[in-house]
Amino acid sequence: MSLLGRAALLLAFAAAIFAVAAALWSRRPGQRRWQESAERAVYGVFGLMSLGMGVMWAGLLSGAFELRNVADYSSTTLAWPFRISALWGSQAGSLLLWAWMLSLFAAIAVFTNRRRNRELMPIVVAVLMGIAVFFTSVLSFVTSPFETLAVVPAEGRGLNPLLQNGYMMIHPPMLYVGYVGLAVPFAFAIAALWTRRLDTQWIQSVRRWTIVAWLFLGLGILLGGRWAYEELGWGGYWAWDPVENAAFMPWLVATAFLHSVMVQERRGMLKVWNMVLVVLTFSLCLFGTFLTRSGVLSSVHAFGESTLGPYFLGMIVAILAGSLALIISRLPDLRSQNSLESYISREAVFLYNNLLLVGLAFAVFWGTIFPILSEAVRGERITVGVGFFDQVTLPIGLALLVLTGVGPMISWRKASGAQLRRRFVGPLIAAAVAVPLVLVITGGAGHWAANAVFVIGVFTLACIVSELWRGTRVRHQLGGVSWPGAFLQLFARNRRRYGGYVVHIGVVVLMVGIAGSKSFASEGDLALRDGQRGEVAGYTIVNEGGSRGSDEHKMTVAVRLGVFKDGERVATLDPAVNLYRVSQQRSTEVAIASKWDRDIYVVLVGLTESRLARIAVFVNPLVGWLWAAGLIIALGALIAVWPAPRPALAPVPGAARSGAAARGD
Amino acid sequence: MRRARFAIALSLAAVLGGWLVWTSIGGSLETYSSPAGLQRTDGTTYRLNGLVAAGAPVDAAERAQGPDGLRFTVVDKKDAESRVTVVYRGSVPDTFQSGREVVVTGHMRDGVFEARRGSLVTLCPSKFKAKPGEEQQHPANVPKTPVTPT
Repeated sequence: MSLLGRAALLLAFAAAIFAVAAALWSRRPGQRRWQESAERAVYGVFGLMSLGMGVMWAGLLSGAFELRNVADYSSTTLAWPFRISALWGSQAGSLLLWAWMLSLFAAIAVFTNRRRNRELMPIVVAVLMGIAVFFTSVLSFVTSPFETLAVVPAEGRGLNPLLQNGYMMIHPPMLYVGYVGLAVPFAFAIAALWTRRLDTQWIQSVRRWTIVAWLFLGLGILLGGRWAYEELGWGGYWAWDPVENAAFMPWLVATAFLHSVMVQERRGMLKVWNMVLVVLTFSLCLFGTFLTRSGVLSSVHAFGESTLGPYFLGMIVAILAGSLALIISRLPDLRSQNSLESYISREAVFLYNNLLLVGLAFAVFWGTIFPILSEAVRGERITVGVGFFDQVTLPIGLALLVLTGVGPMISWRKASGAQLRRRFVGPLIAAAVAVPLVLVITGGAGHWAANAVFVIGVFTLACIVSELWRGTRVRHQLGGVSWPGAFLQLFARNRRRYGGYVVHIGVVVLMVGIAGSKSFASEGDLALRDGQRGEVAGYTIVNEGGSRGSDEHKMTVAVRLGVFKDGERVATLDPAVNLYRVSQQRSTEVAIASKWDRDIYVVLVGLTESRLARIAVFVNPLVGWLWAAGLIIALGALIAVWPAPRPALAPVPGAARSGAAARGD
Repeated sequence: MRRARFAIALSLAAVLGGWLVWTSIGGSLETYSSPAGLQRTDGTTYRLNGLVAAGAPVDAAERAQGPDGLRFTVVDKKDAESRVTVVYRGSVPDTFQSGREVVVTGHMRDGVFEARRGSLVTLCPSKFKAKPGEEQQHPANVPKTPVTPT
């Protein structure tokens, strides 16, 4: 089994090298036929990587404990869904998943472009397969997922109970879809530079890739937060931990890229900037993998000591240096076709949004690597606390939230004063009305940051609604369509724009959720015997009896809690603690009662023999808004990427361009 | 002219951003240290890193919520003679036990390390072979975020 897996990876490594060579060779005059050969090799790499994944999964499912990764991360008693997800529990396994996804995406890119972008494709193939060469070589020669044990154990160690959770099954793959998906826009950008085809063709070809990868990365981050919230029992979902930051940074830069490409499409500006962003995004994806794999930040983190660091660092440096050299050599071709006409215009707002997003990414980067820098400079390992990140994020986040509303309302090139007044009267009135309301609801001016988020959120939402209203009214009046029909047509005719607005609504909801849950959370520790009651943040908690149980794997203590507000029962919660026999590991089972406006979150800390239950109670307002925001953002992104109905006679080469023109900005 | 104005606007933004980062970083510095490195008693915030000495209470989570807090000893990873007593309150990670590597944030007072509430983080020692990889493990070690509006 080990042999088959290793062979598949080695062959994939060889096929990837061949693909790179053939793709580059096909660029020489008279060697076009090699292009097809290179593309077949891409399918070959995908097939071989799939075989490798299949072998790994077969090993996990059948309990082939001669494999180290099977013995260390699964056991015969592990339920089969978790045996599948145990693949990405190990380091080599998660790299295998990375490489497999890369080969899958490369195959999809080759297939969907088999008749388009023929000039770009050799370089696209060479870049994607070059990355595949790196990963398959690491998997073959540095850390093999098919490493065997000298002594075959009768039973595996099992998967960490913290990871036996549905969110953990989908969070890593989603994150990886994001990371790896962003390799495709990067490859197209390099191809455009290489071949000097620097019009907007490459951008349009990868628009969907970028949005989908961005969406998965964002949802992956959010699901990770949700897992932490439900599983870890500290009542929060985000801690500015280096690994969280590692996923957050490429997401920020990819967000900037999604916006600035529109300026290039529309006005022919920011070409160099866009190249820099796409290179930066992918480098940060690799950097994220590097951070979690290298152990450079091991003093805060539990990643096993690993020898992978230098390889990844080398890869990142090579990619950055190569891409930068390529960009510099192509600078004359990347000249802007237009210049900024006014500081109050759509393109200017996009520019501000880009500066803020990249600035925030830089601040997060700075805070993340500060310990490494300080150790190098002063010999003392100094880290920055959560306060730094909160303090930096707040003003930038507020400014971004304002721009989210303002941007789409301002016209391209130059906005006139009269137009601005006309468009912003409504949203400004809405914000003014919101001020006293917010102050009443939140109970005063003490939480100015959260109050600012709420008021700006209302303003931004009003901006978006007024945009939707304006578009609907125009369609209703001009087309003689019914109101709901006009509204639907709006989305159908310009998916990208109005899908984007839906994403913006999701962003407002997300920010409100973050502000509410960060500023208004309360917590309290209670020690209650049977029948006793305690109070946290206006909720009365009653201990309705503890229980102890056990089965073959674990011992469980649990307590039943009634939650009352104003004399009425609002929830019954059963927090518990499991103690696993084999590993002697504790596992806290949090109980949460969610409502739209707050979560009551209860952790059982312990239950003594004398039936005294110690519990920690958190009342977290608006946490549910975060998860709702994820759904709204996903919906908006889906609208934006949903294919427009094809015109009856689709001419092949120009189809992409005319389709884009029909979709407008 | 236009270019010059643009350059000025950009550098202004850069200066503002730099100022923001600088002032924010000032108040939140924490120095990594082993038990022997906890020299300053002027309120310097340390992230103490070491191993939980033998004899840590089994009911750690309950004690950390009790009136006296959880008391345990952290020893240097290499030098077993170098140790410090820690007083801690707040949530205790499930993996806390004697021999585990921990990071805890706080400051020295009267020869005792006073930990910040909820700052206790456990690391997986590399010997513990079931080291789960990357994202899956990390939040287990995440300290509790202080819920203070900024």
